[in-house]
Amino acid sequence: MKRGIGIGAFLGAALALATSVAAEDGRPQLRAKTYGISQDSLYHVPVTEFAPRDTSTTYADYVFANTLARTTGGCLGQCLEAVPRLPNGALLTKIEAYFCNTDSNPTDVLGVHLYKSWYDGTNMTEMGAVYSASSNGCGEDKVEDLTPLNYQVNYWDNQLILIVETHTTNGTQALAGVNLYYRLEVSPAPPTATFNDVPTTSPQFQFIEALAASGITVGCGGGNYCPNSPLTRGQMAVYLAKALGLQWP
Amino acid sequence: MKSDRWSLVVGLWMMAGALGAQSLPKAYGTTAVSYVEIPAVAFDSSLPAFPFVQDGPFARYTPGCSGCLVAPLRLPSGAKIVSLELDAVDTDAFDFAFGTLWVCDRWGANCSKHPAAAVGPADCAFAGWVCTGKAFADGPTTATADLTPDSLVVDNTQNSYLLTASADASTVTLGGMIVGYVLQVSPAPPTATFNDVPTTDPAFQFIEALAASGVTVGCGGGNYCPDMPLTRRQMAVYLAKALGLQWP
Repeated sequence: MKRGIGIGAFLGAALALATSVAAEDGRPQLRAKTYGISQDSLYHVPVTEFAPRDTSTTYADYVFANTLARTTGGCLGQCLEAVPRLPNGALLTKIEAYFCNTDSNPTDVLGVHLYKSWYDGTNMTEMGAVYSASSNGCGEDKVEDLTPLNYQVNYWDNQLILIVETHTTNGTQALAGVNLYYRLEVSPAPPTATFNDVPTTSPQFQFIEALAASGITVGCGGGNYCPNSPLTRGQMAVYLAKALGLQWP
Repeated sequence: MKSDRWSLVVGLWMMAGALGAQSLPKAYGTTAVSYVEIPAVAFDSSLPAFPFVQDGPFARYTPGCSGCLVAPLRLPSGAKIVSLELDAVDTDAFDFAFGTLWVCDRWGANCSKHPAAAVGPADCAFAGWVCTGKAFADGPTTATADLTPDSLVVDNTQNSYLLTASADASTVTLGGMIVGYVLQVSPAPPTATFNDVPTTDPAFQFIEALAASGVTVGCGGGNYCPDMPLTRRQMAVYLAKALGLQWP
């Protein structure tokens, strides 16, 4: 069967591609980082990754006006779930969710809850949650600060799960996406020193141990690291290539 | 379309290909293309009413569009998207597969097709999509769009990105889509953080990037000391902070 595709003019294309908002100093705002330890990185959980928690329920699925927002149909309680995959060691700083609603019924509340469980999936504990208000339309943006938890992702001990919970069965609300914010951290210093010339009292002890433990350096021989030797361009190349596991071409 | 440097990169890449070298997915560096494959299993097929399969940014529900697939695309912010490939298999040598990359706002609304993805062979019935064209034999069929002319830079704080794929007949199955991207360092800011690294310094952009990311705080007194040799201990701090190293 041949299926036609409606040919429409693409009026919004240029607009949509120009939505990168400039910061006050004129640079594009790219808060979603991947590296460095001073700013938050963003982990986006698109709505397509949320699955029904109870498959016996009939969900209205994704259609919500012209937005890829997943409704919970008539489901009441814990309805959708998704698994965020943050880097081990990441410090959780913020949870953010975008909501849609077709009416302004004040009893409509959609919650996005972040839980951790033990590594075996038992003993779920809520770590934070954001709730929609009753705003009509799409794009309602709610944020909660997670820094007071001081929780570092640790998959040896915990799993993380996001759960969408409804408080009414009228199905007028939908989730449009969740963002988790986190900060990278360097592991704390170990109790004993790897290199003779970098004792635990060295100001850079924590960082040099991190490189040794990661296989980026084996020191300069004889059980030393030679911390005060200048770095040659050759050594710099080895550090970077090993650290990033560079592949080419 | 392409700068000389880009032509050189492409030329070298093609040479490497001719010599039998494999182009592996990368994750780092700012010149070579990294590839992320979105396999068929990552596409959701339970979207009979997915609103974006029709053409146009605000198209709605399309009854009968049962073959439509959608997958989220997640790339690092700052990555420049350079290519989009669609791989499919046809069993009757007659049909097309087509798909595209959508740029939506951050809650998944107001999606628009990436304009440079709107290329396809002349015999494709679906102009405006990445289209495999009519397969004249059974088996794998591939289409690739060069997205470099549009310099779309990923910004996860403002946008979300989706891939859709479909076909004109049920004899076509999707294998997956492959997106090529190039990492980039943020543009230089207008003002300098360090007294001894003015905006005119050739390394200004990169030193500012390290300062903004918390990888360096300089050498004290508001300076960075750009011409001082680096000690091995300083290098360790740079790398461990840059990567946020975790161990054991």
